[in-house]
Amino acid sequence: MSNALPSEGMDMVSRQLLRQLKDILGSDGLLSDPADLVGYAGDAAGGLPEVLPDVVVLPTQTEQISRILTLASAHRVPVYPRGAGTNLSGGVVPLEGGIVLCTVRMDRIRRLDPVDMYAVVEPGVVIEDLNRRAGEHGLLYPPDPGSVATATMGGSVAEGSGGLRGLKYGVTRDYVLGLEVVLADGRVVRVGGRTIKNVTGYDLVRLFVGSEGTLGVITEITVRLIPAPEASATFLATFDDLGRAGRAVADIVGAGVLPATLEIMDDYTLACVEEHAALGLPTDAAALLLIEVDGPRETVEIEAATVEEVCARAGARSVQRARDRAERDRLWAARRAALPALARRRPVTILEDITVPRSKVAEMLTFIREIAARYGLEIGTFGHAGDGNLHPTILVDEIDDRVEAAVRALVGRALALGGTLSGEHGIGMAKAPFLVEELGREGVALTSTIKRALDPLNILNPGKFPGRWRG
Amino acid sequence: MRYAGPGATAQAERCMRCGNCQAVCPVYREERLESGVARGRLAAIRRLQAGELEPDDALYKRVFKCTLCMACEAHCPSGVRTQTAFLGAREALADRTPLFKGLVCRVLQGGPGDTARALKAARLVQRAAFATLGRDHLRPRLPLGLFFRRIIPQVAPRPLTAGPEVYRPAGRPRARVAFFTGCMLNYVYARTGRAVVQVLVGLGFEVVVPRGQHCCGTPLLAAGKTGAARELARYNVTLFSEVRADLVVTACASCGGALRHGFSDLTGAEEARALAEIACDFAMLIADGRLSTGFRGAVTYHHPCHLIRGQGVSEEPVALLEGLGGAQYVASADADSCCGGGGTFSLEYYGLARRIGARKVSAALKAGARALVTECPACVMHLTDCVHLAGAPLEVLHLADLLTLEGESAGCLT
Repeated sequence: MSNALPSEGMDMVSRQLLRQLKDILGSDGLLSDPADLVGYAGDAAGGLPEVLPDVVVLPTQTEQISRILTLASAHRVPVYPRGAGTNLSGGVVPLEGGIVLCTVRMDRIRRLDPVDMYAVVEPGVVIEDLNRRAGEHGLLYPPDPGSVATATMGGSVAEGSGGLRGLKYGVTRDYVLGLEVVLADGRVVRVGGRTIKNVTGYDLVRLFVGSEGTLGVITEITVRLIPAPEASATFLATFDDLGRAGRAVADIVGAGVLPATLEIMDDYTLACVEEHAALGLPTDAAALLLIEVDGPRETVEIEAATVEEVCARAGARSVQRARDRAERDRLWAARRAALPALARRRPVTILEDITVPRSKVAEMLTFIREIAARYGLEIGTFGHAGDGNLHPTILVDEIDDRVEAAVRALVGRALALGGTLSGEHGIGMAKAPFLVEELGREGVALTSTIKRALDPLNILNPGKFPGRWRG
Repeated sequence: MRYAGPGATAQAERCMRCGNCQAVCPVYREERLESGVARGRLAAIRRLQAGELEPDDALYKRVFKCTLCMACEAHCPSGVRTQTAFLGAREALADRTPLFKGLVCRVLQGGPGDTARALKAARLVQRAAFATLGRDHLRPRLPLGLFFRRIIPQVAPRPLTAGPEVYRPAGRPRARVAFFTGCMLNYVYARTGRAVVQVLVGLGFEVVVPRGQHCCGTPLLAAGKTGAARELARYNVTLFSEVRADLVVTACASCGGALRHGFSDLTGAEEARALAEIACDFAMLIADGRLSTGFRGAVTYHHPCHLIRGQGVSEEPVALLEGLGGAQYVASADADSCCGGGGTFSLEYYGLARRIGARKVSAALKAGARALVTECPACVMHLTDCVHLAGAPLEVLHLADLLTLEGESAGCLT
C-alpha cells in the first residue's frame, strides 16, 4: 500500500484479520488501497460526513459472508453492509471504519417461477435486471425507487425502499416473501417462504426488511411477482395554485381511481427543471402533477377519463395526455430531472422524505412554503403525492442553524399530521436524530432491545439507528 | 489546486453521487468496483485535489482503467463532464506512464517521419514473430499466455500517404474533400484507407490525402500528455488549413472527434474552429449515395463511442446499412456500448477489454449477424481479436471495407 491518507478509518482491521479475510475472499475480492477505499466512504445522500473503511470485501457466496461475520465478531470489528450505494440516508457510511461488505458481486437470479409467480435472487441483482427477466414472462416486480437501473435488490430490501408505484402497488416490503440472512455471529437463517400466505411464527421477514444492515446481512431474497399491466395512460396536469393541485390528488383517489403513479412538483422545482433541461414546461404554473393509470385496456380508458375530468374540476389549467411512448418519455423526463436539477443549484442538497396521509398533502405543501419563507431558505418540493410521500429539498451553500430548524419544523408538522419522518429513504445517519420523536422513548427502547438480541456486540452498521449518531 | 487541475476538480465537485453511471459503465459491468466507475473515480479526483490521495501507481491504475467511452457523461443527470475530469486526472498522473505506452507516445510525438520509421521496424518484428491470419491480421507464432495469443493487425507494406496525393473522379467533382486518415488507416489498415478513397471517388468526390499529416493526438491526450497533443493539434490544423478543401473527412471515430472538438479545445485557434466546421464523418458524407456491397448475409452495426457520443452521429450509419443493396441490416442489443478497445486501454487492461468485447460479439451473434460493421479502425482491431478468441462465425468490417467488397470475404476466419 503506497498511498498515505490521514487516518480517517479507525484502523480497526489488524494485519492478522486482513490475512484471514484474504484467505476467505482471495485477493480479487478484497480492497485495501486508499485509491479503492475512497469510493466506499459515502453514498448518494448529500451533506453528510464521509468516512473511509479499512477494508472492502466483495463476497460471492453466502458461506463467505458467514465466515466474514464470524471473524468480525471474534475481532469485534464493525461490518457495514452495502449494495450499489445509491441510498439517500447515509445508511452505508462506515462511520467507525472497519469492513464494508459489498454484495454487488452476488448477482444471479437463482430462480424465476412463472407459475407460482416468484423469483429467488441474490442481493446484488439490480432491480431493473430482475424486471427485464420477469418481463419475458409477462410479469412485473413493482417496487421502483428512482434508482432502479442501479440499485440492488439486497440494498432496496435492507432499506425498505418505496418508489413511484407505491400508491397502487405498495412498496418493497409488500413483495418480499422470504429471506436468507447471515446474522452478526455468522449463523445463517432462512425466514419466510415462497407462498403468499404464511403466518408461521413471528413475521421475521418484515423485521429484516428496512433493517438497514443493522440486524443481519441479506444473502438471498424471494419476491412475489405480479402480471404486468396490459396498458397505461400518462398525463401531465398544470395548476395555478399549489393547494388545488394537492386537492386534485385527493380527489382522483376519492373518485375511485388508484393511479400507478401520482407525482407532484412545485413551482420552484419546475423552474429549476426547465432551466436545467428546457423541456418547455410552463414556468408560471404553481404545480405539476404527473399521473399514470395502468391495467387492462378498457379499464385504463375509463380511469383516464376520470382523471381528466377530476383535474379539470379541481381547476387544472391544462391536462395533457401522452399519445405515444415518445411523448410519455417526455412527460416523465420532467419528473426524472427534478432531483438533479435541484441538486445543481447549490453545493449542499438536503433531501427530506416526510410522508403524510393523502388528505393532508395540500396542507403539508403549504406549510413547506411557509417554512421556506420563515427561514429564508430555497426549498423545492417534489414527490409521490399519491401516497403522501414528499421530498422537500433544501438547497444551501452549507448546513447551518436555519436548516436544522427547518428540518425539525417539517418533521414536527409531518408527525402532527399523522405522518412519518421517512417514507422510503430510511433513517441511516440523516434521520437518526429524529427517531425518538416518532417512536417515543418506549419505541426506541424496544428497537434497541431487538438490536441487542440480534447483534449483541454491535458490529453491524454501528453508529446508525438505533445507535448514538446525532449529527 | 495542486494536482488534477481546476477544470477536472470543478467537474468532480458537480457529481451528486447518485451512482447512475453504474448502469452504463462497461468497466463497472465487469468488475462492480466503485474505483472503476465515474462516481468513484470522481471521488478519487476530489481526494487527489485535496492532497488526501497520492498520485501514485495505485491511483494511476484506477484512473486509467476506463475506456473513455463517454457513456457516463451522456447519462449523467447532473451534466458532469466526466471526460474533462478524467483527462485532467490523467494529466496529473502522466509521469507514471508505463514504458511501452511511453514509447508509443514518444513515436507519435516525433512527427510523421519517426512514426513511419518506427512502424517499418515494427513490420519487420511482426514478420518474424507472427504468422498471417486472413488478409490484414496476424497471430503470434508462439502463443504463450492470453495476451500473447492476441490477434493484431499487420502494419501495411506502404502507408496510404505514400500513395497519390490527389484522387479525381470521372467528370466534374461534387466537392474537394481532404482525407484525414489518422495513424490506423494510414499505417496499419491502409487497405481500408484506400477503400474510403475508392468509395468517395466513386460518389464523385475529389479526394486529397495530404502528405505530412500526422496523428490526431487522441492517444496522447488519453495518456495525459496534453501538451504534446496540443502540438500535434497545431501541426495538423496548419497543414489542413493550407489544403483549401471544401470538407475534411474522417473514417476513424477518434480522429473525427479530434477534428470536430479536440483541435479547437486544445488550441483555441480560429483555424481549428474553421476546420471543425467543415469536418465530416465518412458515413455522414456518403449517406445519400447509392451504395451496395458484395457481402451476402445479415450485418449489424457497432457504434464507436467517439462517433455516437463524441460526435453525435448515430442514425446515418444505421440508415445507410438499412438501405444498402446486398446485405440486410439486423439490430443488435447495446449497439452503442463500448467494445472495450479504448486505444491503449486494451493494452493495459487486456483481460477486461476482452470481457467487454465478448459481450459485443455475443450480442451480434444473437441478432443473427454474419458481419459486425463499424466505423473506427481501433474498434475493428479489438473486435477482430474478440471474434477470433470466441471462434465466432462473424466478420468484423470497417464500413468502407463492406462497401468495397466484391463478393469475396476480407475476414481473418476464412
